[in-house]
Amino acid sequence: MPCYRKETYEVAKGYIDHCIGVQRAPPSETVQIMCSLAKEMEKTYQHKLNSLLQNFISCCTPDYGVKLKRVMEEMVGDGILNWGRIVSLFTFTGLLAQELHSKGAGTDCSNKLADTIADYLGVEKAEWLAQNGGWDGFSKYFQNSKDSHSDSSMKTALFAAAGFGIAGLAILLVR
Amino acid sequence: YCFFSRFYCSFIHDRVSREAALTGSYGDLNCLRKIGDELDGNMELQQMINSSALQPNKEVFFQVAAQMFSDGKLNWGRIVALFYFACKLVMKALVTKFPEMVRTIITWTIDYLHEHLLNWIRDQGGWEGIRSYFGTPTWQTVGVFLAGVLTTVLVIHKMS
Repeated sequence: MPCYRKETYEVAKGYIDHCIGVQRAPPSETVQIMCSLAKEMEKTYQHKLNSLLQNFISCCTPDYGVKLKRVMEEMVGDGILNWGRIVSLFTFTGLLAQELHSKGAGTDCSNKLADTIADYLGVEKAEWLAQNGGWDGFSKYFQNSKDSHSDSSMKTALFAAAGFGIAGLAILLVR
Repeated sequence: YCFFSRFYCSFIHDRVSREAALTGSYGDLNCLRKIGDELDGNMELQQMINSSALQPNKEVFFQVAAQMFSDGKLNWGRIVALFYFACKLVMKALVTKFPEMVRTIITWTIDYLHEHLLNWIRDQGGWEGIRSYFGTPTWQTVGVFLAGVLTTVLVIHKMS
C-alpha cells in the first residue's frame, strides 16, 4: 500500500510555514495552489472559521495535535472525503498555526500540526490519496482554479452581463 | 458508601461535561465539511463546464443546470453562474457550428452561381462589369466596408 506520509508532511509544513510567514525555500506548486485556495476560503468564510477556531483553542486540552486529529476524524465522519474538504482542513490548520504563532508558539508546534496531518492523510487515508492520484491529482483537480481564479469574478460578471444581454435580445426578437 | 457514590457521581459528571465540551466545540465541524463540499462541488462543475466534450444541446444544458441547483439552495451567485454557463455554451456553439454553417452557405452561393449565373456573367464580359454597377464608392461606403471586414477578421481571430 502506497504511503504518502512524507509528501503530505512536505505539503502541510510548506503551507503552515507560508501562513506563519516563515519562508525556507520556494514553495512547491502544490503548496502554491493550496495557498491561493485557502486564501479564497479564508476571505469568504472568515467569520465562521474564526468562531470555529476560537472554540477549538478554548476547549479542553492544550494538546493541539490530538485535537486536530479529532477534527479530521469528525470531518470525514460521514464517510466522505474529497479535495474540497482537505482544502478546508488546511485552511483551518493554517489559521490555527497563525494564531498559535502570534501567541508565541515555536516551530515545534507547527511541526506537530504538520505531523498530525501527515499521519492522518498520508497514512490512514493513503488509500484514498492513491485512488485520487496523490498530490499530483490535487494539482490537476484545481488546475482550472489556478488559471481562472484571479480574474474569474470579473470574467463571470462580464459573461453574466453578456448572457443577460443575449437573453434580453432573444426575448425582444421573439416578440 | 455515601463517599463512594459522591465520588462516582462527580467522576461521571466530570467525564460527561468533558465529552460534551469536546463534542460541543466540534459540533461546528459541519461548517468545515460544508465549506469543503462547496469548493469540491464548484470544481467539479467548472471541470464539467470547461470540458471539451460539452455539446450545446438540451440534455447537456439541463444536466449541468440540475447539478448547479442539486442541493436546492438558491442565491443570486448561482443564478449568475447559470447565465455564465449559458454564455459558455453560446460561445461553444458559435465556435463549433458557426464556421461550418458559414462554409455551407458559401458553398450554396458558389454552387448556385456556377449552375445558373456563370453564363450571364460571361456574357457581360466577366467580373469587370461589376465595377460599372457600383460606380465610384463614397468614403462612407468604403469606411463601412472596411469596418465590417476588420470586425470579421477580429472575431475570427478571437474565436480561433
